[in-house]
Amino acid sequence: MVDFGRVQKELQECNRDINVSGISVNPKRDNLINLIGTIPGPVGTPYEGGTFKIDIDLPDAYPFEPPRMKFATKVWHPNISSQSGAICLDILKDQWSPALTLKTALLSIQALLSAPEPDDPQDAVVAQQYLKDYQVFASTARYWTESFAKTSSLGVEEKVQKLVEMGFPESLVRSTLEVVGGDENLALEKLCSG
Amino acid sequence: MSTPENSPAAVAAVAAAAGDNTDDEVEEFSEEFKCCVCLDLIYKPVVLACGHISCFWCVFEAMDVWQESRCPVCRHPYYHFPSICWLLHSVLLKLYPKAYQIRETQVTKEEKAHGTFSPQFENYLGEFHTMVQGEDCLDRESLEPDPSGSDNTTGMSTNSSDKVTKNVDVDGTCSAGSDHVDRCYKPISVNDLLCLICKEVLYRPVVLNCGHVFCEACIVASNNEPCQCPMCQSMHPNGFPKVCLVIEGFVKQHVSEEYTARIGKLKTCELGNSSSADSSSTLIPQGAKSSSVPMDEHLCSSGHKVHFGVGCDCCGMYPLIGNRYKCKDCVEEIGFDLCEDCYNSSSKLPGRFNQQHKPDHNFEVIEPNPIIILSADFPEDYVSGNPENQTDGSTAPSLSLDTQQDPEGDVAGPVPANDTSGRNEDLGPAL
Repeated sequence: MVDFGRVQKELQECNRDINVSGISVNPKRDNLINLIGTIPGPVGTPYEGGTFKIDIDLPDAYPFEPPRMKFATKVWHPNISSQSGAICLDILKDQWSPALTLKTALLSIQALLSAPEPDDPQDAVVAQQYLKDYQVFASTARYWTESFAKTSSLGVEEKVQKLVEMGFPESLVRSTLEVVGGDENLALEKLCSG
Repeated sequence: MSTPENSPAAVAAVAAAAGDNTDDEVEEFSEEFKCCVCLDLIYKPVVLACGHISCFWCVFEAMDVWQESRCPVCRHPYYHFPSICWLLHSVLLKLYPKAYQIRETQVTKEEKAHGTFSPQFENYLGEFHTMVQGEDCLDRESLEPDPSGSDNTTGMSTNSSDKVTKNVDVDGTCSAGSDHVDRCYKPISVNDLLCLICKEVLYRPVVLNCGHVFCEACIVASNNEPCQCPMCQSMHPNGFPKVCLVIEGFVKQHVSEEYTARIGKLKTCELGNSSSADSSSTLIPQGAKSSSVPMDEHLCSSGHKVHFGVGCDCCGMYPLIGNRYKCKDCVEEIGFDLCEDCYNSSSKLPGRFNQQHKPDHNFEVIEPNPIIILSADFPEDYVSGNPENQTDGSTAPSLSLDTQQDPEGDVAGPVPANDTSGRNEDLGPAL
């Protein structure tokens, strides 16, 4: 059984100082098992200016087992799968400690964005690019940030309109947007995949 | 990193979480008494050898079934589940009577739901009193006229401690009774924060595996032997304990006068005979301080029996290593087990989970279960939680390999181990 009392406290605490950290965690639907976290891209990196969404699933034994986290926003980074969003981070695996929280885990992910570890890659292609041609890597990462992590400036109505213009029925667009937490790229992906 | 929140008023949510009886204001508790695991007020505090504190059940659940456990905060390794620190328990009870009681209600409810039990204060008091009884009157006497030589320096504290010695008696009987409300409204006094050996206010407090609290300097440690509790004679197996900063800070804050007096006294002592005794912090033999957890080598060197998921009810070793003595007469589901050392020693404490074990119960030796570890607990979680795809690096395979090797690799379990190099290396450096 997930310790919901603790999760609730974590959410409260995390969202209290959202103005300082920029990090938030919210329920995806009406439960406290599937959550969505957001972190701002660290300043001075190719991810600056982007807002990255992270899918969080809590295992039954949470907090005695690490939360399962992966990027929902596409990101170009040696330790994050460009395909699945899987994150290679020790504290999400064997170095997890119950004294860590969702917020501290997200902070660590944010730190990972600032300090890639290409020698222990999750995405071999990105890691090779990082090592061989940093400039290309940086510009690709910046491009991905521009295209995938900067949509949140649009209002909901604008997103709906954009997707409707692509030919999807409005009701479906709205419900899909809701399911993916308002991320228009995810919504588009979902709509396309049927 | 692990306890990053510094807003002091962060934790008023107890009332909301507890749901019931919120008519009166529930105290806000200070950040240092927030359990790092459940993020709530610590209930039945357990102090690890590294000095970090958690709730009884939080420590229990955070312990590793397969191998040595690590402190959630500092990752200091340990093998033994320490007993509840009753000094801290009663301090919390007095400090936050309502909040603590709400926690008690919560935990009792959970225990009922799970059919588990945790040690009761009443039991402990009984045990504690009989244990101390012998020297008890002696100590009281020596307390009341107070330390002979120090009349001039601590005149103040002498008086106050006189007063509260009586308090303790009242308090003792009070809390042994069934009424939980009365016992709470006693202010914290210097008497709640005394070292059991020197009978003075705690200075650099350390908490042993048995839960007793002493000044660091009052524990005698010889070089390679584990230190022993002067009160209950039980061993403290986790290396020399570190100072519990929470208790130290609390002492400084709440009985500051006595504390400063104590420090003053220590300083004058130091000046008086600087040759023999340096400051109390250097009294500990260096060897003892660093001799932490020899257990791991011990384990790997000889093919010991490891009873995964079973702990010793006396010293708290978990998983239990060596011969396992299981009580044939304890009826509780959780069972009552002892390790060889505890079985051979005469001290028979009540069970860790409130089992009603009696000295006349019989034991049998149990062989470790044949282990079907590998698929049992973790692999699916780790592997399937991590959908990998072709372009990704090699993390997934090496990870599953890693988790599978864990039990044998570190504990020298029944399967021949080819990876004794430590589990982190497979995964590479900390990302």
